[in-house]
Amino acid sequence: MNLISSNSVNVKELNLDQILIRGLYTPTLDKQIKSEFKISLPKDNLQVKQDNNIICSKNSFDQWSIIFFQQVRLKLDTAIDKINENEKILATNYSEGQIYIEISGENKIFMLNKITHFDFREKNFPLLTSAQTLIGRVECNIYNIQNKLLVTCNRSFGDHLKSQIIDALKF
Amino acid sequence: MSAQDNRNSTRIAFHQSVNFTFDGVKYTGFKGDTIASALIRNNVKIVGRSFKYHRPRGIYTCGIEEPNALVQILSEHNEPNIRATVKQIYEGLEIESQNRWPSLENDLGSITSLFSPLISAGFYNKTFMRPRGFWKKVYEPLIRKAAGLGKPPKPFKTTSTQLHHHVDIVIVGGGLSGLLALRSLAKTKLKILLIEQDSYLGGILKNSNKISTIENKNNDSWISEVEKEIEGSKNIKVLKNTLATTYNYINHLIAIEDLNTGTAPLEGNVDQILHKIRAEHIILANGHIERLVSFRNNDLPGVMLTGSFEKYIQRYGVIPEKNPVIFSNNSSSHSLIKKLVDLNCKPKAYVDSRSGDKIEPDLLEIIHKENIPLFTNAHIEGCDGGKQVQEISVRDSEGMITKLKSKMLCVSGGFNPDVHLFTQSKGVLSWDDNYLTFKPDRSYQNTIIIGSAGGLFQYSKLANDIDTKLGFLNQEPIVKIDFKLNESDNYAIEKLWETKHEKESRWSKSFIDLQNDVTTKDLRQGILEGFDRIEHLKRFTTNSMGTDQGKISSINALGIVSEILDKKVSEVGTTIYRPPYAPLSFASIAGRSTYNFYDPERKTPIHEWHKKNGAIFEDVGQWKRPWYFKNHSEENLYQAVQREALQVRKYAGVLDGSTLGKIEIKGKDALEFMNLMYTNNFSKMKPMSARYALMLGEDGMIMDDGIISKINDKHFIATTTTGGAANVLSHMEEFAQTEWPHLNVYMNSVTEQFCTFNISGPNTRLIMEKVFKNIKFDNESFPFMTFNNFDYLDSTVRILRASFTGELGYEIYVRPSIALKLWEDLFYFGKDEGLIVYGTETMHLLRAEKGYIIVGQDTDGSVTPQDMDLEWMIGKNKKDFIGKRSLTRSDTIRSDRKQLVGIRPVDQKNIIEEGQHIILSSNVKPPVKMLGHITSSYMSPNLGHSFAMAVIKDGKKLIGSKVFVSSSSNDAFEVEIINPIFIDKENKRLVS
Repeated sequence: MNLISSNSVNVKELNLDQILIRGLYTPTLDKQIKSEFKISLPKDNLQVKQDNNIICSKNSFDQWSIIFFQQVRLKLDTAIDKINENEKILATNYSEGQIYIEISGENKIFMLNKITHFDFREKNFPLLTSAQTLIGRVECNIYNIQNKLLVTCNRSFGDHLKSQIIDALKF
Repeated sequence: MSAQDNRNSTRIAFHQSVNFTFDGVKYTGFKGDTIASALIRNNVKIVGRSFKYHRPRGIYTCGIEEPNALVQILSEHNEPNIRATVKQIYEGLEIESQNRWPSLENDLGSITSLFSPLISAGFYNKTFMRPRGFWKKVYEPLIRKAAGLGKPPKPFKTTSTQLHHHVDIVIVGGGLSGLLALRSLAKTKLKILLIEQDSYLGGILKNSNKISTIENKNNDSWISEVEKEIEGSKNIKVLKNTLATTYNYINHLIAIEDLNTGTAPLEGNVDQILHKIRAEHIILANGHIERLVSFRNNDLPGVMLTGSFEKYIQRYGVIPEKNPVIFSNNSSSHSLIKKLVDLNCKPKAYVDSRSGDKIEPDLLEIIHKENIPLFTNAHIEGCDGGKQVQEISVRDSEGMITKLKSKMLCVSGGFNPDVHLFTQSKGVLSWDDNYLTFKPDRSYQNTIIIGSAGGLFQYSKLANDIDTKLGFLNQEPIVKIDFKLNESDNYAIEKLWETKHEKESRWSKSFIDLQNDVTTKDLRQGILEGFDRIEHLKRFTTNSMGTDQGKISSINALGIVSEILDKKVSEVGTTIYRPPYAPLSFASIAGRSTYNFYDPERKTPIHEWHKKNGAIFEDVGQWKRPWYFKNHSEENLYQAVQREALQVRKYAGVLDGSTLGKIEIKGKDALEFMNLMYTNNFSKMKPMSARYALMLGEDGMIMDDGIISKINDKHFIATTTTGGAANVLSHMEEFAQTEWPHLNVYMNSVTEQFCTFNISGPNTRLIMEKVFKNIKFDNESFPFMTFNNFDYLDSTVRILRASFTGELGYEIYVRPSIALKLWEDLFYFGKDEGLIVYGTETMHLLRAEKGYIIVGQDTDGSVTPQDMDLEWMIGKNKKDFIGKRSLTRSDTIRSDRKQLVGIRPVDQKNIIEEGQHIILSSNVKPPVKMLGHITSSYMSPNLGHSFAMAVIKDGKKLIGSKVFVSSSSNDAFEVEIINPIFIDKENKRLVS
């Protein structure tokens, strides 16, 4: 859904699916994820791997996010149950608890600089990395993928974040 | 008319006149004029009245350092304390002077001057004490009326915004040094931000006549060339009309940009941007500030700093007065004298405190050629003239006084490097005996100081200064700059802080701090009274405590104090310059974080339904929770809660409990982890059952509570209080990662992943059976405190049989995408069973009737499970859990601890108030011994009277006794201490 396009910035709200995985990296876990979702787990913190319609990000030393650009909601629970058979792993369906906002366009960084102190320069936030920061005073995850940014936050803050983004563009 | 235009100025659009009003009188200026330059152009001499003595004050300077000319802008929501020397005029601007009544010319407040010997420094510490009763009704109202400069602004909605920057270099100051540095760095590909407070770059190049040519070009051409060079650069950004106000740690600058310079603000448009800048290096090229000299009546309108006078001529194209007297202790007036001669406005006289041999020969040549009276080894003794300078007294080396008739006295007491930002950065200053000023010595952060900001006042050394300090950035070396100067490259200052009065009198004044009306006598008095440390003296006299922070005078004060104390200035030390450098509006600091953006709001997935159905919301942290629901527009909180509470106990009610925290815990060692985190023993708990659990802090005090649902020994779901959710999760993570890293267990917050609907009441089972047709809800199939997963639409819901109201109830956990459908289904099937929606206030009342505590309401971080009569929740034979050890401390096992009880008024007409004290008797004299206090209190429609929960010392033993409860409106009244469970003590409804 297109939220707003203005001043060479495009903002869309997407309907995505997400799994949050807690656990330490093991080749077994990686193999399981790869066989299930055709993407392997990044090893470095804040590294993002992207493949077709999936991105996989290592959020911290024992946490990964897998985000699906095509809705797979019904099958996700089955996959999660299978992953959770591994008693050393906790996989949770995060799909409905988050909102997903895609920001693209030449002036996206200028717009974001109105509502976040985060340093978007290449040397601090290169392509295929993720970060956790405050945007519009809301705790967000942000992913730098190709020529766009994906911002996610808790659904309860969704209206506020969207309003802040629209305000930053308009004002 | 004594002021005269200088139409050679290239910064004023003489073809564009601008009309404005000052104190109701219409004036005309030109585009590019500040209020000050426009008023000068119109020969307005008095622009305000001083803070304490209400002395007439004129324009003293030409910049941000102005102490006197603070005005109120009526056409911009009455914004007060605006510097007339900075604010540019625009068509229709309405300005008012401050601190005077009824008018600037005739101010009643000037009567205080008569009492000035009685109201010197610190007088308020010694007065206003007797008679005691006068303080509240007489002194305070009078002082409040007299205090401050200007009136508060009218309410307005801020249109300021904020912008963050991350750059390699910030250059503060777009003057000569700043532009040279910028040009030398242009080819380095470093990301550079240049900040300049003026509308034009150039600094001293455009503001004075000191430099005739630079690199063989006139100043304007040189500036234009540099601007063209940097224009095309993608890595350089220039912000004009932007003032750097604060230098924080780590290399973080705050700067404020005025987008309405010289134009009227447009409704709905951004007027200011607060820039927040993080840089690798900050180059301070913010120049220097001229300082005054203290002499008798040095505050009279008509006294102005020499550099400022020159700036009005050069930058603003107005000669404030045709034939001023010029007084100096250094060689900086040379360029002004030359300029005045060129404009056919030669000075009335030149007074120099130095001997003739210290004055440059070419200046002496001009003076002699033009027959300008010269006084060397001379001082200004004082000025006279009532409301403006009319006569100036000059004392020569023999002590003879010569009186000169003139309306303008230009004064230069030397220059101070502008070290405000440097000291904010925690840089260290050192005293320079050569220039008699403090200058930057050691940086604390990545700060580089160039030019006069660093104490360098010689143009010939500037190139080397910049090359040496910026060399490590691989800049293009400047090597040498060709200057043609209109003055000496060595300004040869001689020490002069103040001059002596010819006749001492109680009323004669020479000022050191013009904004706060502090005189040199005040400094002497302060030291005499024992305030001989500069920080103490500052506060006692209020010297340098105005909005200008003593920019033109603070060093003079140190000089005078050093002479009184017979110490070196470096031994006296400096006071600290505090941010901001110049006043910032609250509007710019708030930016967009006002009104609906004041605090991020959290909403549940069915928030819109609540809005449409009459919900009145309350803030629970950042959450918007329905507080109560209005059945009709006239219904108030009390009526709604009474209605809701009755309905739930009689039929059924449902609450949106989605805000409560939910945490999923899983791992091989999840059971062991949960046993350590909570007081309860979960080992023997059956799978798919639930238990109310307590979490303690390490001090043994109740930290949070919730329901633990056990899926199996390796998988749990814990609920928490709304406010405690983040704390509990972080508490769990901390212990899992740092205390018990050997345990294999992980947690995820699932608060947002599920909505929670709490449905309870006698008809609940009927409703649930209609909504979930394939589920059996009878007692045998669905016992109390058990849960299971069920299909609903294309998803799964988890239903737990539990209740916080004491009635038969269930908690339904459902995905947000189908939550509204389920909620609406409940009402569709529940309407015939009397189902209503209720809010948090009713929830509080119902749980209190049942004696259930709320963590944070009935607990305050200082109560144990035993205090709350919850000992039964502590697992017997548990080896360990957080807080266990603390439960056996002497303090936690003593008998007179406050314990949870119920309270009922003896006379049931009395209403118990939350927070009131519990006392033994109503007839005791203060101090009254407090037995405890009311933690929760409600009017119960189910009980028919007010009731409360309280914590009382040894409360359990006092059950059955009568005590008193204080009241805010009446006398204390009698109450009975009872068991805190008011309804269904046997739990029959709960397990029905």
